[in-house]
Parts: sequence; C-alpha cells; structure tokens
Amino acid sequence: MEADPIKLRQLYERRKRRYAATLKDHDQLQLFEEYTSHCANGTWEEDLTATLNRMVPPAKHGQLNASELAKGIKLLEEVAMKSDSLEEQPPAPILQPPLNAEFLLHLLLRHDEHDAVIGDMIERYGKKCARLGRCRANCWFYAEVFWTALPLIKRALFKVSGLMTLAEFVRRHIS
Amino acid sequence: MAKDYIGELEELVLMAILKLGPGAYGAAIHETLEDAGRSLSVGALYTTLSRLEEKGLVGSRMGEPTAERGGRAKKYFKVQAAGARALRAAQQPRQRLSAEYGIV
Repeated sequence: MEADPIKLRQLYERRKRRYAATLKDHDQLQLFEEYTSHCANGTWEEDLTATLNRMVPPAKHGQLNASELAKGIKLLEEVAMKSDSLEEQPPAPILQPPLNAEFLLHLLLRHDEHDAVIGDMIERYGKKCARLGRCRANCWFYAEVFWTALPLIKRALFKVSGLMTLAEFVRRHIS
Repeated sequence: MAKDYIGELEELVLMAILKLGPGAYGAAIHETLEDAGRSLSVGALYTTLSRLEEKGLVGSRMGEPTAERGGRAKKYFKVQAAGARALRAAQQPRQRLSAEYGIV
C-alpha cells in the first residue's frame, strides 16, 4: 500500500467533506460526524485508523492489520465513488414559487421573519414540485400562503387594536 | 407556573424540535408534524414558535443561506431547559390518567 501520505490525507479529507455533504439524513450525518470529529487533529494514519475502527470494527482493539486497512480503504473508495456520482449530477434548478403569493407574505411578515418563513416555504415548494408537479405545487403554495396569512393578519389586528386601545386611553386621560 | 403552561400544539412543536435535535428548523419541524399526522400552515407553526420563544421555552439562531431556499437562511430552534420542564409537566397528568385507565 505505497502512496504519498500527504496526497492520501488530502484525498481522505476531501472525500470526508464530500461524503458529509451527501448525507441528507440528520441521524446519518450525526453518526458520521461522531466517527470523524474526535480525530480532527490527528495524523493521517491516526485519523484513518480511528475512523475505520468505528466504521469497520476490527477483530481486536489496537492497530489495524493489513487486511482491515485494505477493507477500510475499499470502504473509503466506495464512499468516494458514491460522492463522485452524486457530484457529477447537474444541480437541481431552483424553482421559484408564484411571485405574487410571495409578495403577499413579504407584506405580512415581520422583517426578521422574512428569510426563515419564505425560505421554508420555498424549500417545501421545491419538494412538492418534484413530487406532485408544478401546477399542483403552485396550488399548494397559494393555499399555504392563505392559511399562513390568517394567523399573521390576526396578529397584526391584535397589534392595531392594542395600539388603538392605548391611544384611546391616552386621549381620555389627556382631555 | 402559568407561564410554563403549554397547549397541545406547543407540546407537539416542542417534541418535534427534540426529535430533530440540532437540525430543527421550520421546514423540518413542519414536515415532522405532517408525518406525525398533524398538518398545520407554516404561519401557524411560526406563530407557535415565536410564542414559545417569548415564553423562553425555545431558543433560536440563524443558519447559513442555502440555494434550495432561494438564498434565504434557516432559523434553527432548540428546546431550553424551561421548555423541557414544561413538556414534562404537560405530559405527566396525561400519563397518570392514561395509566389509571389502562390505556398505556
């Protein structure tokens, strides 16, 4: 297993990062981070050994033997192939929901809520588009904006009525 | 004690945040609740989340903007100690009654 350790280290780090980026499932990502986080400052060999000890449990604790190391390298190759195939796929186009519905949300939301709420709705809209098609996803988005607007309008009305009550109270006490 | 009282939706949202762990943000919470059979609008979810934040039961932080969200940042939520206490307090009477009736 003759190879330049620096290049191997760089390759391993790159693959680790790419593999982590492909893990959409939170539990998987957490598990993978647990595998790798403890050895961030170690050398390439320590890092690989420690990571593989967890990914491919060896027969006994301690240093990996040649066959275990080969098994680990094969596993990393599989990981790399998986992340390579995912990387080669063209990025999915970002789907824009109906702008008028989004604009309505802009009007109703507080400034600090814009990113979070509209971003969440765009993210869910993209998923709905993939599953149901654009037309049905548009219908879902309009319906969602309607049902989202109701509690926001209610909140705005509460604020306005509160201000009006306060104004009335001040006016009575001044006059 | 009155401040710690939580309603059914607040209880479900707290449980969803606990289930998701550090990856709990609006869309994920919404999806988790839908998967659990409780559908609600994003607006209703955020109204609940801001109410929980005002009560000091959850904390939040802004994440990085991502392309799939049209360059908008995620807002991550985390259950505070008071939130976990309120959740336990809300579940205890139900569990006691359920045990008495032999439902659980």
